[in-house]
This record gives sequence, C-alpha cells and structure tokens, in this order.
Amino acid sequence: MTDAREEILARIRGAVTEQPRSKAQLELVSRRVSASIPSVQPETEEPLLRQFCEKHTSVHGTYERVSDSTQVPGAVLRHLNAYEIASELLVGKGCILDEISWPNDATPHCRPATIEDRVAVSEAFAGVAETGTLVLLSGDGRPTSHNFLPDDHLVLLDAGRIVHYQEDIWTLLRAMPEDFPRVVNLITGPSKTADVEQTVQYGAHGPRRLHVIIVEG
Amino acid sequence: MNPAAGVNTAFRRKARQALADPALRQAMSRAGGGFAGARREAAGALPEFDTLCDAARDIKDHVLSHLDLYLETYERQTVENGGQVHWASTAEEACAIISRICQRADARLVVKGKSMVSEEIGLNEVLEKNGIQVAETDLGEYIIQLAGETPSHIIAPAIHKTRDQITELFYQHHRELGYGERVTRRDAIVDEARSVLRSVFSRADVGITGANFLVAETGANVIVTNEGNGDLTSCLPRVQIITAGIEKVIPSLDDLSVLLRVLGRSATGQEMSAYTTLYSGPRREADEEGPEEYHVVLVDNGRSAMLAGDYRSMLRCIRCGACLNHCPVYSAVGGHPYGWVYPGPMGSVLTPLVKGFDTSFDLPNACTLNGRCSAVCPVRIPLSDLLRQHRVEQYRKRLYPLAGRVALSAWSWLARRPRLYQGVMALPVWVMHRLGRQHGGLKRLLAIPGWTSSRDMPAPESRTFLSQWQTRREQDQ
Amino acid sequence: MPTDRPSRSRVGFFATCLVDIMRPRVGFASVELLEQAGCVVDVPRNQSCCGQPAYNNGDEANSVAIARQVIQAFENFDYVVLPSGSCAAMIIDHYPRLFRNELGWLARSRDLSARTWELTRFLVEVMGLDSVDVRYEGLCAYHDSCSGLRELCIRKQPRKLLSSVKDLTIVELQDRDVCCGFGGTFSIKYPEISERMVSNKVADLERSDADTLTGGDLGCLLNIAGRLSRQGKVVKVLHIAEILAGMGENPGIGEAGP
Repeated sequence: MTDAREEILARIRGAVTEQPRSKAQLELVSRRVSASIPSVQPETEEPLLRQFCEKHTSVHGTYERVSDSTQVPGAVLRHLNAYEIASELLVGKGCILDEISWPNDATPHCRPATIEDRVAVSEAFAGVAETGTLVLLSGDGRPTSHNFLPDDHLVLLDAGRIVHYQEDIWTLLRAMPEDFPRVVNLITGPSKTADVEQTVQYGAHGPRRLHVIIVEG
Repeated sequence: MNPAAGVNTAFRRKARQALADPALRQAMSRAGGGFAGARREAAGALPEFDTLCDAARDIKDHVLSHLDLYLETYERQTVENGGQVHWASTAEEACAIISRICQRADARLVVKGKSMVSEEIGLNEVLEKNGIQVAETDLGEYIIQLAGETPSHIIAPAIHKTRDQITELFYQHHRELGYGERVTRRDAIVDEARSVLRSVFSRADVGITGANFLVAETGANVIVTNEGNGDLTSCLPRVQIITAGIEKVIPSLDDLSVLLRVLGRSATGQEMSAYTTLYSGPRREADEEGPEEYHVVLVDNGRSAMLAGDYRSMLRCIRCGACLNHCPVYSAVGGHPYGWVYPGPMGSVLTPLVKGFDTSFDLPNACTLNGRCSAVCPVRIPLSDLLRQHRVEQYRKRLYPLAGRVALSAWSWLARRPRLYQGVMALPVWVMHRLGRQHGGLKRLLAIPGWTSSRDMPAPESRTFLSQWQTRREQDQ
Repeated sequence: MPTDRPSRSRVGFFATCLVDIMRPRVGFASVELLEQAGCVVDVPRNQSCCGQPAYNNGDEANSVAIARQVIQAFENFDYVVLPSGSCAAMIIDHYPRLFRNELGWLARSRDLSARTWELTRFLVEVMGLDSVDVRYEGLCAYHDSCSGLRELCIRKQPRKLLSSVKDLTIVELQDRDVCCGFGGTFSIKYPEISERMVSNKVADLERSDADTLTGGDLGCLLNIAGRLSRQGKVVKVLHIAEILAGMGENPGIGEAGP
C-alpha cells in the first residue's frame, strides 16, 4: 500500500507546508519527540501514599497496608476469605512476589489466565498518586490476561514506588535498559460500565474488585 | 437549478420521531444532566483545567502542522517494535486492508473493542460479507449490535436505550445460549453480558480496536476504556488490528498525559478511566501470550482535505463527547437523526465534510449557534463558527430552499435601505398591533407557522421605535 | 464650569430590529438609562438591522453590505450601545471577521468594535453605574442569552444592577446556561426542536417559582413569553432595560395593554 502512503503524505504536506521539509523542521520534530518534558500538572501537596490511597478508594478500589513482604500472603488470604474465593491463585513475577513463600492452603499458578480463573496476584511496576493509578507492565511471568480475566485482581505495590505524576512513570520507563514492554497498563479501580441507564456497575469485562496490598517495608 | 436539490429530510423526520418518543426522552434526560454535571464537577475541581485545555489545543495544532513528520516517526517506531503499518486513503481501502489481514489469518471470528473509525468505514458489514463473524464487546456497542442499530453517542453508544429495552434484547438473543430468564436488575444485566462475551473473547481469531492516541515517541497505540473489553480484544486473539484516523498521532508520552487529563474529565467527569493502555507491537519473546501480528491501519477518509482549509481545527477532536452532552438539540433528538456515525455538534461539522454537503443539509442548520459546545470543548474547537461556515458553503452551493432564500434576501435588501425599511415596516407593525392588542399576542401568523405552532407571538406597539423617536425629536424641536 | 468635569460621552444608540419592531419601549427605557447615567444619546436614522439573519444563514455578501452600512452610520460616536447581547456580539466579534480580507474596512470595523457595547455592560463597566433608584416588587429570574453570555461575558453586570432594584429578589434558574431555543431563524425552521427547548426553559422557570423573567435579548424573551402565553402560564416577561428604568409596571411582553 505504498501508493496510499505517498498520496496521503503528499496531501498532508500540500496542506500544511509550502516548502519541502527542511532539516530544521525534522530536527524540531525529532527533539520534540525524544526530549519532551512534562507540561501542565495539577498542583498538590498531599503526601504521595495518602493521595494514592484516597484516589484509589474514590474509584471503588480497596487496599491494605502491610509492613513487609512476609505479611503479603496473609493479606491475600484475608481478601480471599472475605469473598469466599477458593485459594487457587494466578501469581505473576516481581521483586516482592518472587520472594514470597506461599502457605500450603494457597495454590499459586504461573501461567496466562483463562476465563475460569477467579484470582490473580500481580506486582505493580509503580503507582501514581495523582490519580490512584497502578502501572503494570507485560513481560516474562507477567501476562496481561492476569489483569483482566479473573474476577479479583490483587496487586502488590511497593510504597516506595509511588510517584507523584503520570509523567514520572514515563521517566522511569525511559530509564529502563530494556525496550518498552509490549503492554503498559494504567489501571485505576476495577472494571466498570455505565451503559445501562447511565448508572455505574462494576465488573463489566475486567475484574469486579481491585485490591491493592501496599508493602511499606 | 433545483433549489431543493440534495436536501435530505431524514433528519427532520427522525427528529420528529425522536421528540415524540417518551422512552428516548426518559433515557436522554437521565443522561444529559449526568455527563454535563460530572464534567462540571471534575473541571471545577481542577484549577489547572483551563490551562490544560490550552495546552491540549496547542499540542494538537502543533501536530497538525507537522502531521506528515509525526506520522512518519510513529510509523518508524511501530515497525521497529515489530508492528505493521498500513495506510488507507478511503474507507473502501481501509476495509480491503483489514479484510485481507483477516483472510490471511484464516479468521472466522473477529472481536471488537469500540472504534468509531471502524463504524465510519463501515467495517462490520464488509467483514460479514466475507463470511467473518463480528462481535462487538463494548457493552453499549453490544447492545446496539443486538438491536441492529447504529450508535447514538460516541462514548455511550446505547444511551438511548432504557433498561427494559435492554432486558428484552438480552432475553431474545441469549435464550439460545442457555440464558432462559429475563434479567431486569442492572448488575444482573452487566453480569450476563460479561458471561456471554467472555467465551467470545477466548474464541476470537482477530481483535480490532480503535486508538485514542498514537504516540510517535515509542510507536504505541493508546486505548482509554472503563470496561476492559478493549484490552481483552487486544491481548487474547492471535492478530491485533488498530484502526485509527491519521490525526490521532501525538508527539510524546508527556503530551499523552496532558491530553488524558482533559479527556476523561470532559467525557465522563473522570480523572482517569479504569484502563488506559499503551500497546507497542506484537508479543515479545519473553511474553507467554499476546498477538503474533500487530497491524495499524491509518485512515485518511477526508482528514487530509480538512487540513488545508477552514476546518483544520476540527482535526484536534479527541472524541470526548462533551459537545454532544452539552448540546440542547442533541439532548432533544438523540443521535440517530444525525444519520451517520458522529452525532451532535462534532457530527454536524464532520458529516458534511466527509459525506458531502447535500446529503447532510440539516445538520449545520439544526443549531441555534448558542456556543455551549465550543465552550466545553477541551481542545477549543470553535464548533459553532465551523457550523456557520458550513452554512456559508451551503448558501454558495444554493442548497437552501428557495422560499427561505428569497425571504432572507428580501429582508437584507430592506435592511440595506434603512429609510425604506422604516417606511415599509410601518404597516405590518400597525396591523399586527391591531390584531394582537386584545390578548397581547397573536395565535396564528400565516407567514411563520413554525413560530405559532407552539407559541403566541407577542403583539408589537402601534408604531416602531424609530418612527416614535423621530416624532419625539420633531416635537422637541 | 469646573475644569475637571469629564465631558459627556456621545452615545449612538442602535435599537436593533426586534426592539424597533416588536417593543419600542425597550428602546426608550435604554435611552433613559443612558441619559440618566450622563450620556448624550443620539439615534442615527440610518439604522435597521445588524445583519445577523444574513450572517447566520450563510449569506456573506449581504452580511458585508449591511455591516458596511452600520459602520458608516455609527462612525462618529464615542460609544455605540445596543439593548441586545447578540446584536452587540455581531458587531464586536463578527464584523471584523467579515472584513478579514479587506484591510480598510477591517480597520474601520475594528474601530467600531472597540466602541460598541451591550447596554448593561456599558452602564456598569464604562459609566460606572452600580445601582438604580427604582422599585420593582417580584421574584425575578434573569435569562442569560447565549451570545451575550459566551461571546461578551455578560453575567454579573445585569445582576449587579437588578440587585439594586428595591423589593426585587433575584432567583437563579437551574439550567440557566442552556439555550431557550430561539436562535433566530432556527425557531421557525426547526419548530419542533425549538418547542422542546423552550418548553424545557419554561419548566425550569416554573421550578424556580419566579413571577418575573427578564433578560437582555428581546428575541429570547419573545420566544419564552410566547410559549408561556400559549401554555397559559402567568409569568411577567420584561426586558431588563424596562425594569431598570422603572417601567416595570407596564404590561409585560405578550400581555394585553397599551
């Protein structure tokens, strides 16, 4: 389809520029793309952890704070018991998750999700206080289906990885030695829809419940 | 020259039907206040909102004036990520490209996240003609797919449906899948849709979504949703296709953050949607799942033509729907009278540009130019000015009915001759005064039945202001 | 004569076609307000219409012709004042656009724009008026006409003056920034939609319990008054100039009387 490509580009150039593109313009665009900086950001002075928790709660998310990673299995089981969910867990990979030894009454599985799976436990790359958003990346041991297919999604978040603004996430990602992952999920609260009479319902296609376990140690 | 040439009366007929439909009125009144109120609250809670809108407008304007360069950059990055980029000048080309991809993939079932562009190009029909089943998964799109209707709102496609109507639709269509009961509660309706569509996701060969943004910096497409269906569509099938207008590209991730801040608030009053996802190419080696093929279809379909003229600002549109939510005409008649994919003010601007002025005559005219749409547009598109510009085009093309043109020309002719105007107006004013003075107004005015069908016309005084003023001045001297 | 007394402003009053034809007393009330505020008011004879009907229906040629005439008629005044937000906006915002390709007329239209004002904005912001010494007893809603609101930022000024009227209580409509459905020729070209919009406005008015409706644009007021009358509802509708000039006792728009 090179013809359409050339035609479209020619039409665009014909409409927006009278001269052929100059080196200066190419450089301008290149710089704009590669050296961009944050522009307008909402000002707040709230502590990051508190702001994150408030925003997360305001979008129907729940959370529990634990002092270190040894407390994580307990927090997970508490959530499962509260909703009477069997403890067959999908578990993703992550710095904290990899170190966890699960008790005998929890069965962790490391594979992509299916429509039968009820719970997945993931570890967030970071959290954004501005909007109460979790950032999850695809990758080895981190199938994106964990974030969408199960009814319950539990996400571990290292309190030290809560950043202020969304742009801070881009800074972190750009600093990574590897390429950008295929999927960057910005998740804010559980799945919802208002398509029935403009009234919000949760659990449309994604998880009904999003429970964050904030690890502070 | 036929003065009535090309005047399409479908808008009037459908508007009339809509106004007489109590179910629609109920649905729209619930929705109208909701979205507008939510936006007001969200915008009001953010002191930087206006500055963000200015910044969003500037980002878009900058991109548009360098669109070729950003598209090339985006394409390069996407290909580096292992994706394939296709370019389509027309709707037909876009459908042909997508059909070919589906056929090469031996696709039987295609799932779709919401994509207005795919509606614009008429994709579903083409795929179905080629023997491919198409399943919409956005709940609103799913509902109208069952109903055999077109979307009536770009964010909430089934906004015109009441709960009872949805219950009936599900009952009719889900019975054969084993769902024997009518579900009436909202949560039960959503649960049933969730359950039905889950199996569709897992069986699909191809997943098609739109793109809210295309990020040139990293070659990513961004989808902004609340349900999660767009992500399931993008992750589970073997082949991922993204349909996007060429104007969707933005320079960098930082620009994305600015636009996201105004998009959610303008659309539904949210600071952030439940799911905002960036996809960059097909699955990587380390991924255990994900599509093997990743295709982006860049669609022109009239957009490059808009760049060159008075309508470039329309290309800033981020499809938030705020203009619809604040338009009193849209609130009154709903989306279907607009006759195409895009309703409300943005539809009234776009449809004539893409489909031609003669088939969409009423759209720019069924508007009071009140400007509420322009006031809430997060990228500051001067919508009412663009609609007025459409009227200039229509006037030039002689699309206005003869009677109206003659009447207005006569008025203008008189207005350009003030003394004559003053002389001529004396008699009709006096006559209207006499006829109406007993009751204060007239119930029938043969010349303008449109007014008196629902309103009285207040009676004027016996003489015009200018005539009375002239008399007083003469008396004073 | 004291040397520091400011010279009186020469105001050219543009009645607008609706006021001229449908309710002259609004013109007289406006002139009275302007004179009381200290202006010397003249009404140039060469006036008719500001050109909105042509402009809003895509007829650029006639819009330009009418605009030229208005520019010429009002060339020699310190200020040009109109009792209508939409007509004032036409001159202020839109005339310069009509002359974007004609430098000479562009300059003249910009000059006129800079001197043109809607009545209540002029009284408050230019003449420094912050109160009027009149009485009107009533619960009064102010209708913000769209052009005035959005193009000229008229919102606080009329309310400031209304709040100084003795025994008048201002009540705000819930949907006060929603169009009443007039829109000039829209009201007769799309009558059913216009009917729905004006009915919503009347319902909003009823919810507020106001016994009086006022505003700065006669087109909107004729529209709403016409609907009120057809529905047999009793709300007195007056142009704000009438209330502020102490003429509120006269019959309202659509009411029988002299």
